[in-house]
Amino acid sequence: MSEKPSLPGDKIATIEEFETGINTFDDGHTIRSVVIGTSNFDKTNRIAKINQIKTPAVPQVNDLVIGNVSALMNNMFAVVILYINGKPTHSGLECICQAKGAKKRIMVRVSDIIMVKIISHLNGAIHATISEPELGVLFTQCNQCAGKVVTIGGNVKCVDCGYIEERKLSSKFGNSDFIKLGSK
Amino acid sequence: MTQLMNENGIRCDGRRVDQLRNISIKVGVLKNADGSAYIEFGKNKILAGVFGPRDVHPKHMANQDSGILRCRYHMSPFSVTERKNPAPSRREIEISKVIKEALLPAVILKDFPRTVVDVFIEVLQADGGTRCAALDAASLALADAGIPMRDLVSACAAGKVADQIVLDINNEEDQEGQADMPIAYMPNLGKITLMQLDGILTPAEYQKCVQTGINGCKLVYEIQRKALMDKYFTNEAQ
Repeated sequence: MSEKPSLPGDKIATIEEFETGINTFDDGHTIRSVVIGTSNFDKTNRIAKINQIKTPAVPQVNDLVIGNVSALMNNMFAVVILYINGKPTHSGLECICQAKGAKKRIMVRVSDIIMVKIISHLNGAIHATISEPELGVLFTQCNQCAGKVVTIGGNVKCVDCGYIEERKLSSKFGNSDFIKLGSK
Repeated sequence: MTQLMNENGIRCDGRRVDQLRNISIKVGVLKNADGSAYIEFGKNKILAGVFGPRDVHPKHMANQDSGILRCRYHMSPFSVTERKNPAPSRREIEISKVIKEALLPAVILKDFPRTVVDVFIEVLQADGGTRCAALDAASLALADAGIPMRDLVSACAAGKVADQIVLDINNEEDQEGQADMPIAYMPNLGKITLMQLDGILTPAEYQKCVQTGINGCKLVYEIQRKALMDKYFTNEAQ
């Protein structure tokens, strides 16, 4: 009964046997698949679900996303998604990061490359966070001269003009392989 | 005027009244599309590509509660005997609309708010019944892109030729026949998502025409199913 190939619309169970799980719907008396995948039955909780073979490029909760900061507002910033769990995407979707005082404390600057974690899909927006050590800025440049920067404590210092600025740096800052991800 | 049917009930292209043209479908033919399908429906050759869910442009089209579906049906200038102007014609705009409306009952876009799923359909060679063939390819391309769907959409036309109800009318029958009824159908749910009628039928003929069209959709569905199974499960098994 389990691991059976399913296409959209295929009957996988009846509502008397199971409840609908991920990638399924019920038409009133039958549970049907909505995607291409293999059926999976949780017999303890009586839930039928489909393991999808090909998922659309929309990040799910707990996915790690690398993106480009596109806009900076008072209490949040927007990130254009470039990689989802290391896989490149061209969907152009944005996620929103809540960061109180983002403009005063300068956690990120527009066009920084940052890593965020998706925490929810709420009110039609994808919400993310940078409050974990490995999350934050992966790559940035000097805000004055666009030169290369190095870390000094929690800040970054330009090697050309010596300008020091605050950032919420990722623990992977400077040694992230995100540039190589595109060639995968 | 072409003789559309002989005294033995054989049509101008050698088919019986309830016989489909030869259909072959291949899924996943475009590298840069999220999902794609190529269909040969008789002499029709049609390519469908799906892109998305992706960011909506222009932004005012975005829906906060759900994703949106956009369709573009286009005939290549070389798809017909006389060159067709590549600019979107009134007919292409109308067919884009009816294809979108035929696919909408099947797709579930509530999980992708503020995004768009774009379906591009390119008719490379046309021989009557392109909207049905295009719908078949578009439905498979959507499934190939991983877009949640309640069911695949299968489409096939029926019509009236030489006072008889026939399945899957070709270009000559479309031009010179008495009626043409394209039908799109969700076979597992038993729901019609598109039905148009060009011509005049009696109530009895209408009933028979609908039933013939649905039977045709069910035959097309089996071929669509096989195409998806071949791509996703046959290779895996090998």
